[in-house]
Amino acid sequence: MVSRAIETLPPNQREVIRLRDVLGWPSSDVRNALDISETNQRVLLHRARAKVRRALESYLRPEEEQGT
Amino acid sequence: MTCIELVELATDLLEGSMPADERARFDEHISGCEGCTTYLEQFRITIRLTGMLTEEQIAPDSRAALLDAFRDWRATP
Repeated sequence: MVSRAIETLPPNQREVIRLRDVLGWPSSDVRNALDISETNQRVLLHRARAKVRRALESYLRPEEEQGT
Repeated sequence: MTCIELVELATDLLEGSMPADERARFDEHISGCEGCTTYLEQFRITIRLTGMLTEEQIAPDSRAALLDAFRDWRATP
């Protein structure tokens, strides 16, 4: 379920969440590996996590209307 | 701080990259907001569940496709 949600993310968001949250890399290693700024890394990570959270919410409560 | 602002700052908080003054406004809001408290807890659970995946379950794109994606993203004005 979570892996499916991650697979539907845009590639840059997917790679950041894969390195940071799946593999547990320190954020400094993630931004060095991808050559992105600290801010960009955090924005991509946040978007990725927010989408996975929403996918979980939809999965767990499919009957309820999803707010934005 | 509004709920919308707080939701956008959840990763800043959890990554420990939030300035002290912002952290104070974050704490002040969330202490009185059940919705945001729930959101933050769901966010933590999401991260924990993601951390239970193995690398094999998340197939990265080819290196070239990823590098292209990041190059395009950075080039966006």
